[in-house]
Amino acid sequence: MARNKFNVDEELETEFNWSHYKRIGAYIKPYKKALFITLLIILTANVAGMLGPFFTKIAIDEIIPNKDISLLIGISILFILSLVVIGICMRYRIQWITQIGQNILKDMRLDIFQHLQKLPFSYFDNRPHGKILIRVVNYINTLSDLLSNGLINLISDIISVIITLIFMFAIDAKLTLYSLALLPILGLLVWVIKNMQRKAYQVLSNNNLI
Amino acid sequence: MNNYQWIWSYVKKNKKKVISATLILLANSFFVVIIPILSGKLIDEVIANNRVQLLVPILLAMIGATLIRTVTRYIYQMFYEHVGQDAQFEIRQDMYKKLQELDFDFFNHNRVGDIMARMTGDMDAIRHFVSWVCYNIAECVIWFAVAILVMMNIDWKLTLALVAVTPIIFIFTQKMSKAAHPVFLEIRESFSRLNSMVEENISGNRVVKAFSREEYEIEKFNHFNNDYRKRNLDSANVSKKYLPWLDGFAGLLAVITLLLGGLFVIQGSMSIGDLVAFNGFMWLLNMPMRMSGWLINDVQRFNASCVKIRNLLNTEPQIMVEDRKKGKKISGYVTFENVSFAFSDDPETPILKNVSFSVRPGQTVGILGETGSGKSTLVNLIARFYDPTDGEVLIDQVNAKEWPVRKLRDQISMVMQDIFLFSNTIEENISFGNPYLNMEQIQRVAAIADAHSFIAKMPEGYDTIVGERGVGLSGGQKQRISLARALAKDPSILILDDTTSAVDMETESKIQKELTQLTKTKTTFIIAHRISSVREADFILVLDKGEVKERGTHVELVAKKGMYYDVYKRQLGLVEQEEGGATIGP
Repeated sequence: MARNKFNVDEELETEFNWSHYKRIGAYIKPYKKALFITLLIILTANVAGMLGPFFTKIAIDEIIPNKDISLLIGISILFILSLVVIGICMRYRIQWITQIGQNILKDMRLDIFQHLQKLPFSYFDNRPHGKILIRVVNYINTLSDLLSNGLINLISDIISVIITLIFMFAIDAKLTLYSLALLPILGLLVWVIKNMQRKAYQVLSNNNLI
Repeated sequence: MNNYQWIWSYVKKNKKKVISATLILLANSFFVVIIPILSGKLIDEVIANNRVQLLVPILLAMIGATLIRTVTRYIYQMFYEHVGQDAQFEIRQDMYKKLQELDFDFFNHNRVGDIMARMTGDMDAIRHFVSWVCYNIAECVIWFAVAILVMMNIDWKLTLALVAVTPIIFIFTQKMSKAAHPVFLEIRESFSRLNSMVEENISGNRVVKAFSREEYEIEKFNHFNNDYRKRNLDSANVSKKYLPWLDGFAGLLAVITLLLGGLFVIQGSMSIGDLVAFNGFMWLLNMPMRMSGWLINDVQRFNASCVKIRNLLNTEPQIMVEDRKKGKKISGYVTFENVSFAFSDDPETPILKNVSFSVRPGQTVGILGETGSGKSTLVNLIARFYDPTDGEVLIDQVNAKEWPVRKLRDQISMVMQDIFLFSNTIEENISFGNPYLNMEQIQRVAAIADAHSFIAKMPEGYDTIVGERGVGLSGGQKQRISLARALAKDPSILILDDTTSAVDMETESKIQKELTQLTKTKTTFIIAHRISSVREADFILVLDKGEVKERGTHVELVAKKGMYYDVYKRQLGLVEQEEGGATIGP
């Protein structure tokens, strides 16, 4: 790209592809173990989270109609215990996730900065410095959102979906399949919106220069 | 004024939008509640009572309610987003305006990266608050209220038992809020530092490379990078301390419902159907509590950014800039009466001491002196970049402080020592002070500054984009473009601060010849190190440590055999040597 001024856009030349995720994967690699532990924590929390509604179901279906007060108290204590497990899991989840996320971001920022030191004069001469600054600092913060919130919610939600689906199929496979009938449409919508957002975000970030 | 009143002053003009969005949100909560009620009906009427004819109408009603709920939610989300974007736009506008108002003193004491962090990261925290956090809080409050209303209707005793837990949650949210506030301020400050460091590294990339100090820079970056990481972990520590408790108490509501509700049912004061319905609305009560902790983080993030932005907006320049007013043109009389100056943060070190002189239009003043003798400060006082600590600067016999700053500066052109060109075309750089110039006029001032010849030789001529600060141009070329820019304004007072230091003697005398034609009616100040730059001046001030040591014309000063003569002798010798060297060379 030739020398440009503050109000000239630099088109993103590379199309989105999966190799971008692969590159992020390289950053995650050193924290594989930590991520695995986090995954276990999330799994435990999700299973414990399913217990509450399950206890409620048992209580309403059986214990309360049978007027069994001691069993009711017992199941309530179990319910509270499940809440304690969820709480502990949450505590460690927040800690581990932030640590992994922030470490990865730190690594990425350092990589970009180190790379920046190697770039020739022409890179700095050909564009306003604001454009470069935004790349090093602000874009990474966007990734931070992806890592700290997006990635974790994604993992947590996938686990939830899997556990829920297992339960649903166990109860009634046919009904579950019916309820999944709209899934392809949802997928299509997500794909369309994703592409639109990417375009829109590019326009936005090109304007985000001082 | 607290942060919320402050942000309201920006949101106020969209009051109608905010109110309609909130009303739509309220209406929306009706559809949020109706869906579980409908599904309850479905179970009671269709499944239990076997009234199959109701199945389709109820299902249609549910689909309808879902559609309305989704559409209305989309509408109020868009409304809030609009309001947030508008507020962000206005605040950014105000900040930018403020930056134009602020004086040298402010920019001497604030890092560029800091200011940029205000304009980007902090701005976004505010937009996020108005467009997202606000309606989420509204949703939480409304849903919570609706849930209590509906549940009261089913069983008031059980509802009261649940409401009894809420003060505990309130205490926790308060505590968390308090703990989170300083942490988020720290994050913002750390981000500012990181931003500043990177900004300086990018701007100074030539110096870094020239001194091959990349490793040192990386080490420095590592320090700030780690600090920013640590601050974010601190915030996670606050979250991990409070969020599990908040989440746990929200979960406890379900246990209370089960245990107490179960006991009520067993005692016979409540039906099992009611308990099921009650339980169906649990999430409406739960969700706001679970969300509260996360929302508090967002609120504190907003507060931290507010503090930063409002600090900037509340900074008052020492020299006030008012709106441009039409008035009589400045003729160009400049008088200094016993002017002394010291920087406010170092009052013990005077930069100028008792400087007095008087110039009238058409005259040229040469200012000579060693580096640090106060030459640039002297001319900065004329344009009121600073005000004198003692004494008076008079422009057209009126104290400079009485002149509206922008009117004064409109008539003063300055070629500064540290030349800044925008990353824009040469044409736009030259016409910066006078955008109405046509191409012919631009070329004329460029010719006077002896810049036309080299600009014309560039492949894209006047359309050539120069890099930030004019990289890609030689020092002399930059000086000549900035001289053309100063001349384009057609000022009454022209100040040239070391403007021809980087051009050769031949070009300098060419420029000087052209300038004398142009400056017949103007007051001109020429700061220089070279005698050749000032020898034609009407009078010359020789500055030493802030004091005028000698004054007079070139001939007078040479005859005096003082400091000026010493410099003259030295430079003359230098010139002879140079010329001698030239004859020996090939």
